[in-house]
Amino acid sequence: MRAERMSKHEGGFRLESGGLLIDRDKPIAFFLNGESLLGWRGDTLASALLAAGRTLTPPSPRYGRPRALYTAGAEEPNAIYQIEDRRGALARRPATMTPLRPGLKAFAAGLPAANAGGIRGRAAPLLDRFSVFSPKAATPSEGMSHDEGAEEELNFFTDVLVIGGGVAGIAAAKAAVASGARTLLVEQAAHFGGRALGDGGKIGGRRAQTWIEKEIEALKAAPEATLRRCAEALTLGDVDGALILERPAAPGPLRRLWRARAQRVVLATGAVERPMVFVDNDLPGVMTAAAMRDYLTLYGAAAGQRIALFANNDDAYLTAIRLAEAGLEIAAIVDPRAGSEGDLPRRAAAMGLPIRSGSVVARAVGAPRPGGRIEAVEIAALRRSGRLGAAETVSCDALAVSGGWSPALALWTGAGGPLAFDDTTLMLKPDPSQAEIETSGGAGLAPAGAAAGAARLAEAVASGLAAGRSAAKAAGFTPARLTAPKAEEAREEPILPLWFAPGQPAFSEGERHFVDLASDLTVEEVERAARGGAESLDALGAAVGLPGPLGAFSATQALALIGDVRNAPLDALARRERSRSRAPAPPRPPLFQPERITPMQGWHEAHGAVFAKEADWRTPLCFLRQSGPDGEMEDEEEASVREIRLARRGVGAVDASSLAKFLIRGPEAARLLDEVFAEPMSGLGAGRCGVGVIAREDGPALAEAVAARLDDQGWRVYAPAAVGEALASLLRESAVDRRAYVADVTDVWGHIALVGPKSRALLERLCELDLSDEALPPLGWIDAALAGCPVRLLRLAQGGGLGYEIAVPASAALSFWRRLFEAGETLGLQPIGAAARDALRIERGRPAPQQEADGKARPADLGAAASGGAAEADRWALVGLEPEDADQPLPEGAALFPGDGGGVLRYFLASADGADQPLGRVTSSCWSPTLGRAIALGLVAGGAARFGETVHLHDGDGRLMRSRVVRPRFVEPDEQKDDGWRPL
Amino acid sequence: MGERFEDQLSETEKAFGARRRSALEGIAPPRRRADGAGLDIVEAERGVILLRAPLGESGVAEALQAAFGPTPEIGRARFSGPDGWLRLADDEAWSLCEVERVDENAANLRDALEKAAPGGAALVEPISDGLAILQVSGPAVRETLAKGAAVDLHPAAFGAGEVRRAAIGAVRAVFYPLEEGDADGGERFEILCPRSQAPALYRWLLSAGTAGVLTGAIPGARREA
Repeated sequence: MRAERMSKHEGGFRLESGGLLIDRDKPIAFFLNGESLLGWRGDTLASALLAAGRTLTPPSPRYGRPRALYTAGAEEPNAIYQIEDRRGALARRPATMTPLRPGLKAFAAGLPAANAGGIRGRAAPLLDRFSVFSPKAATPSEGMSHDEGAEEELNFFTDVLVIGGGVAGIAAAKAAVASGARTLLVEQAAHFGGRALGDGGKIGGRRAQTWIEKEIEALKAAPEATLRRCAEALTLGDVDGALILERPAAPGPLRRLWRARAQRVVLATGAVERPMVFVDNDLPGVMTAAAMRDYLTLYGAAAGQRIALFANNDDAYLTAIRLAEAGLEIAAIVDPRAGSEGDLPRRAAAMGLPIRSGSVVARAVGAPRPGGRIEAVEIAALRRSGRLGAAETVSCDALAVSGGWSPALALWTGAGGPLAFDDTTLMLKPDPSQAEIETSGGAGLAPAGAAAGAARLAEAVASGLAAGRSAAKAAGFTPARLTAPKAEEAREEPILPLWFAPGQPAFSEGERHFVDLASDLTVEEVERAARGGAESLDALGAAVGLPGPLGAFSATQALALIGDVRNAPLDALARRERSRSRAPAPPRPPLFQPERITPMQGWHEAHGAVFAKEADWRTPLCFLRQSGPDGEMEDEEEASVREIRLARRGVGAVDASSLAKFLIRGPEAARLLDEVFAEPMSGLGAGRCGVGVIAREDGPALAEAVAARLDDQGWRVYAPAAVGEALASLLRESAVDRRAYVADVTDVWGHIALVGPKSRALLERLCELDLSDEALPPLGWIDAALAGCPVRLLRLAQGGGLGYEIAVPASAALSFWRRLFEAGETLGLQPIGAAARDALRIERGRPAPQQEADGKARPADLGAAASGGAAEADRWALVGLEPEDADQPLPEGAALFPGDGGGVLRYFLASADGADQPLGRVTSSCWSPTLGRAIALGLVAGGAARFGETVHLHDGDGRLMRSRVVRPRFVEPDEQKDDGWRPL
Repeated sequence: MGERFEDQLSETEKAFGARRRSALEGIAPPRRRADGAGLDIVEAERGVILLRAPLGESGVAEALQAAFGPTPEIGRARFSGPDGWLRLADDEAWSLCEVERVDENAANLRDALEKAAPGGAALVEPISDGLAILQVSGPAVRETLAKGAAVDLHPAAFGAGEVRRAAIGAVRAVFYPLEEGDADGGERFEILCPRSQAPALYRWLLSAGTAGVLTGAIPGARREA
C-alpha cells in the first residue's frame, strides 16, 4: 500500500488540506508538454507541478544531469520552462514566478519518459514548436479582446519607490505614505508578505499574516500609495527612472513596463536561501528548506513522504517541524553544529524528530535509473580535522537543504553599491558604513530588511519603517512618527560556516559538488579558478566562462570557496565586489514610430500612388496609371519614366510638403544664414531666393537648400526632409546668443512643386497675375492668391527649366491640390513622385543628402563656389558619369578605379598594398528618358580635373563596366525645341 | 477611383468647411470613442500663434500684459473664453484665439512687441495650420497619456492651468487639462500635435486608451472605479 503510494506520488503531491494561497474550490487545468494537469487557483506553475508530481526540469546545461524544481522563488535555477503567454508566444520563465492560469501551456525539452507519463505520441509535434514557433502564427487564447496590447509602457512619477513587498517593504511604504509621500510598492511575486506570510511569527501582537493583510488593505486605501504585484524591478535605470516589468493578470497587456521616476528608492528585495554544497547536491528531490515549507504552507503541496533536512542554522528547523506537523515523516535532521539550544531545534527535539548534530550529508544517493530521484542520504560525522567519520545511509524521498540566507542585491550592486561580509549572520550584505548611495538617475537608494541583512522579523519591520521615514524625509516630507511594533519570533543560535561538505573519501572530488546549478558550476571549478588567481566573482566568471553574474543563490558560497583557496578574509573579498555586472536591460518593446503624412495623402492613395519612406514621411514614389487600351497597369519603372518625360515636356506636380521648412526672424537672421549656408545669403533682397549648400562650420555638407528672404529681418528656409532634424538642430545652435529666432514651420505649410514648360500656363489659369520673367524672375517669389487661396509662389526649378513652387497653408493644401488638377486637366497635368523628382535632379547634377552629401563631402566638393574655391586635388568632388554602355545604369555605391580596369580586379582580390584604392564612388544613378541613356553622379578624387577620363567599376555581378567622367550637368533647357530640352 | 476618397471627405468637409480641412480627414470620423477603457477623442479648432521673444524682459512683459492680459509663468496656461496663453519657455509662448482671428491677432502682437522693443528680436507666426488639436476625455485620459509621455500626470502635479510639452508616444506635443470637463463630468485634455503626425497620434491614443484595463496608478483614472 505504502510503496504504491510512494510511486504514485513520486516527485511531490498535494496534501488533503492546507495552503494559504490556494482556493480548493477553483480547479485550473494546465498543460506540461501536452499532458493535461490540474492545479488550484492561487497556485504558481511550480506549486501545481510539485503537487502533480511533475517536478523534473530540463537537464543541466553543461553536464546534462537530471534536475528538478529546487526553490520557490525568482532564484529558481532549474525549473525554467518555455511558457506560452496569452497571445501564444513562448518565453523562458521560471515556473516559480508564473501564476497558474487556465489553459497555461508549459514546455520543457529533454524530460525523460519517467516524468512524462502523459505525453506519449502527442508531445512530438508540440516540442517541434521550439524551432519553428512564430508568435504571429499563434491564435490568441479564448476570452482575450483582439485589441489587447501585448506590451505597454507607463511613465510613473513618485516620491518613494519601494522594491519588494515583504514585511520590510510594506513597513517602508507604510512609513512613507504616512508621511504624505507618493509611494509605489512593487512585489515580483503574485502575493505580498514575502517570507513572513508562510513563516509566521507575530507583529504588534497579531499573526504576521493578519498584519500583512491589514497593512496592504490600508495601503490600497491610501490615495498616495500605488501597489503592484507580479512586478519585477529590472534596473534602477538612469534618467528614464527604474524599469519595472509588470505581468498583469488577464485582462490586460501581457507586459507593462513601468518607467518609475522616484526621488528615493527603498530596496527591500529580501534574501535568498543558499543551498548546501555536498556530493550530488543537485539530485532531483533536493530542495531548499524554505521552498519546501513554502510549498507546504502556502500551497498545501509536499515534496516527499519521508524527508531529510540538512542545515547549518536554526531557521531551517521550521521546515522539519512544519512537515512533521503535516503528518509527513522526517528521516533525519542533519546539522553540522554541535547542537543548538535555539527555540526551533528544541521544539524539533521535543517532537521527537531525529536530529543528527555534528554531522553532514556526505552524499545524496539517487535511484539507479534515468532521471532517478533521491532515495537516500549518506550521513557522516564531521570531525574536527575536517574529515568525515563512517557514513550511514538513511533512506528518504526528499531532502531539504539550507546553508543560510543571502540578501538579494542584484539591484544594489548594479547601482554600484558597496558590499561587506557579516561574520555572525554569514551574509554578504550592503556595507553598513555606507547605508545609502545614489543611482545613476540621481535617486537616493537605501536597502532595508533582509536585503540589508536585517532578516529577523522584528528587525525587518523596524528597518523598513526607518527606511520609509528617511526616504520620505529626503523627498521633502516630514516623516511620520511611527513606533516599530513589537515582533515575536523564535530565539536563534548562530549559524555555522560550512561552505562545502567534504565527500567520501575526503577532498577527492568536487566535480559533483554544485555551487551554482543554473550554470553547472562546481566546487572543483571554483577552486581551480581561485588557484589561477581569481579573487572576485567577475574573475571567476571570466575564468570559468559563466554566461552571467552569479546571483544571491550562489554568490556567497563561490566567494567563500575563493577565500578558502586564496586564504583571504571573506569581508575583504566582499568589499572588492563593487559594481558587478549589471542586470541586462530588458528588450524594449518596439518603439512607436510615428509616420508623417502630407495633407494630400488621401488623394495620393486614391490615385495609384506607390509609397516610399523619406525620413519619417510617407512619400509617393510614383503614380501608377493604366497604360494602353487593354487597361494594363504600368510598373513602377514605366510610371517613373512617364513622369520624367512629362516634367520635361508638359507639366507635372510634385507634393513636396515633406520639405523641412524653417522661419528665421530677427535683426541677426541674415548673419545666421550666412553662417549655415556655404554661400553668403545676406546680399539677397526681399522677394528673392538663394540656393546653396548647408553645412556645419568647416564640416561636411548637409544638403542643398533654398533660402527665401521675406523682408529685412525674416527668412524662410526649405530643405530636403532627410536633413530636417539635423538642420533644425544646426539652426537652433546657431541662434543661441543671437538676436534671431528659429521656428520649424514644416507642418504649417503644404508645398507643391510644378515642373515643366507648361507650368506657367497652368498658373495663369488660376490667377490674373503677371507671371512674366520680369514680374517673377527665376529665384524670385511673390505672395499671391491662386484659385482664391493665399499662397507663396516661388520661381524655383530644382530640376532645371521652368518650374514653380507653391507654399500653401496645410489646412487648405488638399483643397488647393484638387483645384490645381481640375485646372490642369486639359494641360495634361499629372502627379509626379519622388523617383522622377530624383531623376530630374540627377540630370541637373544637384546633390542630394545622404547620396552626394554623404557626410564627408564638403560644400566645395559639391560645387559650392563661394566656400573656398575649387576642390582640392585629392578630395572627392562631384562629377557626372556616362556609362560606356548607354543602356546599363551604374550601380549606386560602386567603387570607381582609374586605368585599365586591373585595379578593380585587384581591389576585389583584396590586395592591401594601397595601390588599388578606389578613386571614387557612384552616388546616384538613373536612366534618363530625356537623353535616352543611363547617367549617374559620383564623387571622384580631383573632380573637374578628371572630366573626360574613363573610370572602371564592377557591376556587382562579376562584370567590368567603363564610364566617362563628365561635367555634372546633363541637360539644358532649350527654348527652340518642342520638348524644351537639349543634351549638353 | 477617386470616388471612395470623395465619399470619405464629405462628412469632415461639412465639419470644417470647404477650405480648411481636418488633419484626420479620411482617417477618423470627427468624433470617436475608444472601446474598453473609454477614451473620447474629438478634433477641435483653435487659432494658435507662436510667439518667440524675450518675454521676461522689462517692457515686453508690460506691453503684452497691456494688450493681451498677463502672460502666465513657464509651464502655466491661462484661458479666457476662446483666448488663452500657453507659456512654454522663457522666450516662448503660444497665443490661442478663434481661428478666424488668427491673422489679426498676430498683427496686433507684432505691433505690441515692436512698440515695446523697437528693433528687438521677435518672431510672431500663426501656426494653427500646422497643428492638429485633439480633445481627449474619459476616465482613462491621464493614464493613457502617462503610457506615452514622460510627464507626471498626477492631478496634484499637473492640473488645470498648467501645460506641458513632451512627446506622447514619439509625437512631440503640447497638452494641458481643460478647465471644462466633458459632459459626464470627466476630465478633458487638449493635445496640440504636428498636423502630419496627427493620424499616428490618433491611432496611438486609440490603442493606448484601449489596451488592457486601467492600472488605477494615476489617480485621475480612478474616477470610474
